[in-house]
Amino acid sequence: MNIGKFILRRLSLQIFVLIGLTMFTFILMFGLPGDPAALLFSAGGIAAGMDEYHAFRAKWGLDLPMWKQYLNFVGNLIRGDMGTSLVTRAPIIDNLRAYFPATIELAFVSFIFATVMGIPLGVISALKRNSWIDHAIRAVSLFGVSMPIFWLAIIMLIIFYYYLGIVPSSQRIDLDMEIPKHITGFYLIDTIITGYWDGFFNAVHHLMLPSFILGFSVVGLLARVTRASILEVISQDYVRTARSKGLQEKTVIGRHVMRNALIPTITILGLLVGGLLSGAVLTETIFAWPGVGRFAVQSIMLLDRLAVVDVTILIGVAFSTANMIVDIVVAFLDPRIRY
Amino acid sequence: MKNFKLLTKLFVFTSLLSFMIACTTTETVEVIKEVPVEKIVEKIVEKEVIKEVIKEVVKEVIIEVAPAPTYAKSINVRDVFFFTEGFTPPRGGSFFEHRISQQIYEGLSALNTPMVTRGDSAVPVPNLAESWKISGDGTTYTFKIREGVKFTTGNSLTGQAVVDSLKRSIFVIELDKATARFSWVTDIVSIDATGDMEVTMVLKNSFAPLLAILASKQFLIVDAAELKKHEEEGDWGAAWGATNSVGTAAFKIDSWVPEQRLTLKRNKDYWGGHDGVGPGADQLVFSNIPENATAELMIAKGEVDVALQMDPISLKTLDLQPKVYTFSYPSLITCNFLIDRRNEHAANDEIFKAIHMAIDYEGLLSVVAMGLGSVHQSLILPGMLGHDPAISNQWSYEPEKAKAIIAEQGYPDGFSIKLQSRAGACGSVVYTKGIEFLQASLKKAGIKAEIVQSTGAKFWGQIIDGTLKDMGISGLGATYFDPDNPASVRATSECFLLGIEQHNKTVADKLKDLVAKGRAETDNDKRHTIYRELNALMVANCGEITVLQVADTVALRTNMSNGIAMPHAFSLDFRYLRKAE
Repeated sequence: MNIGKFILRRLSLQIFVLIGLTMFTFILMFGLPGDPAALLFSAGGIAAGMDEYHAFRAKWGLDLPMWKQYLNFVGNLIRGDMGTSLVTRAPIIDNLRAYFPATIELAFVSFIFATVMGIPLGVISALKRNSWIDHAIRAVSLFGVSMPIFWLAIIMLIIFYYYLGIVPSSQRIDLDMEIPKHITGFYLIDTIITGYWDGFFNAVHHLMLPSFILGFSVVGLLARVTRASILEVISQDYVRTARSKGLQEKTVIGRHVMRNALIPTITILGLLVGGLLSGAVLTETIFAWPGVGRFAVQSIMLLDRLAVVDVTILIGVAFSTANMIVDIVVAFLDPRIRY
Repeated sequence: MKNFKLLTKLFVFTSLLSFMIACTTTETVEVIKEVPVEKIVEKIVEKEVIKEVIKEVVKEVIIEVAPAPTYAKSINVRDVFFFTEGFTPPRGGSFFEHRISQQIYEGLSALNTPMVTRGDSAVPVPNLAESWKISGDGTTYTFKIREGVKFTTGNSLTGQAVVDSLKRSIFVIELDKATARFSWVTDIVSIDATGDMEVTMVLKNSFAPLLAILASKQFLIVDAAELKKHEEEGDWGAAWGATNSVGTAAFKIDSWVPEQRLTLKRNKDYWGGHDGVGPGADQLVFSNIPENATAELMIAKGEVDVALQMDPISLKTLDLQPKVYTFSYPSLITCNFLIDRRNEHAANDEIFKAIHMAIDYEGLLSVVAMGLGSVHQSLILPGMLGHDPAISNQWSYEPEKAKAIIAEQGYPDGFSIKLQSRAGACGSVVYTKGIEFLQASLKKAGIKAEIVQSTGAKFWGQIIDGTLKDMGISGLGATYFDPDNPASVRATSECFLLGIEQHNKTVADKLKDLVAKGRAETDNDKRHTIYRELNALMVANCGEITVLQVADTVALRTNMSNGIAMPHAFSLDFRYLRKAE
């Protein structure tokens, strides 16, 4: 099977994944007890506004049975309509357009940071096995994996924002700076397109601490997986053979060890994308980052079922796409895998 | 490699050093309180408002705020918000929407915010209406509209503009099918401009809360003609108006980015307000900072000047910051334990009384609310007609007495009840903590309470369905400063949903009767008597067991002064704030 056919097959499989996702999330959300309209109307005095309450339920189809609501939702989804948020009263697609770029931008920079830091640290740790560098890197990795994001973020804010004043506290841009014009929703791109360079550098500055926090736990994991993988590969016969052929150590490591040792690391990277996207909720809360994680939390709290299902679908699609890309990359790296 | 080793050591050393500095410095903070210099001169004047009609003297606190020689460039405010249904009246019911609406719109009447803050009786004072006359039977209100006032759109305020604005509010309320919540609007016979600067409103029946309602969010005055230009699908500009300002007040919307930032700019043509106070800053920037710990650092560092909606623990921490001070004011929110009167135990009047005695009010205030509020056992708040400390502070924690009553009623070993715990808070009382405290409190009276996890949607769903078997907690607030609000919204709604009609039809009918009488009565002394009676009935019979009136607390940098609260807007009155730069 060639790569084109493989991608087509994976894409068609994604349709089933999506159906499963929507159904599963929908049932889960309906499994939660309660009536979202009751919650929304409780603040204003429910009984005084019972007509309004019933009209609201009818307008939003909340009085329909679950299966009918689900079929309506799927029917609309096929037509490209993701529904309207009960909470924001806006089309959910507009909410996702507003919030998802912030999450992607944060997750992407965290991913880059984690990859650039995690893999080299793992390599160094493996090559300097049992040295003090190895111990230090393993300690840092363990620290990264073990520390709760919430705690770490607050400590980092206290040190680097409050005392040292070298990073901003929160949000995507300084309070006294103009928010970039929304073109793509990615501040780094929008500021470049509009030539808003102060905004660009400020946005980069604002990304530093949150992406470090989000990426730090991943750095630890990547370093540990890479180290273990290299240690396993480095003792293989073909590595010994390569060395006995008189190849330079650089070539042995680069061509024979790394190519094989990185396969599990890359597989992990695919899984981490999902972790970064969904794990951004805490980071987004602490850094007042207006991303989809906070949108999802607010939607769950207010039982905005469609919004929760849509966010799940979106993250599910991003996750499975990342894994598809990983499968393709692994196929290039591993001659044993051919599609 | 040598350089690399050196760099690594340096990195580790610097990190450890920074961490140590952070830890040690926290412990050695010098607690020096820089109290802002008082610039307020207060005087109480006797001000007669249309004496031949209202026939009473209205006390108005006038606060003279030193005029700002130069406007502060910006005041940064920490807030918590998510989306908006609308800042433009009548839409938008969240605290944030109320807060912003009252900064950009004004009503025909206004509440004297310093008086409300003090808990004094707050009779509405003229605002965009320079004066008013009320007919003897209380059905005709004639407003003289203030001259020289302009909307931020450039249009002038006229009698016709006021008529259009009020009619638009009613139109949108009908569009949203919300008339039941504003039932009095169906009693309006006509609203007409009876002169260039005069508006006459005729009602079928006398409606005493009208002036207080005209100061509340839903009926603030907007430039309806401008909104009409932006109409979509016959909504009279409601969608466009959600995030555009067309008011007369001290600020106007400059930009709004959902979940991030709202910027208000000073209205340079502001007429000065009923109390002659204009804004002290060119702009107000409201930023959404959901995490309290982050907000704490931001105000301590000076990145924000004012922090709203802080949790009590953060406020206690901020009290130790030398450059920050906090102040509290009574809010219009109460904390309540809700129980259905059809509940097996609550149906028994004696046991219902025992439940009141089994709640440790003072403990709840000091431990859970961290002292931010006051024990208050009625939905009618201090400052409102009908308020009586003898009613709102009648219960005290007497677990042994409660136990004895319960035993007398046939439960020598007490009884069991479930408590629904859920996310949320009323002021500084986090629901989960409030419920845990209630559990411990009831235990001493022999009531075995089991906590079950719930959600707001489930809890309120059960109240609506009349299927609530457990006890729960909820904050209940007032949106206009008149006893009609708790009476009409709470006495005749939640109280009924919680089974008063099935429990005691006579009381239920009496409550309805008193609500109607209170609305129709124009004499304030008589209204006070009516609402006092209603208050006593509610406290003795309704399933809303009110325990606390919570306080709103604000944290400010010490270079900020004149923090005057606007409780009905869940906010400060930002016109008063002054910032020394």
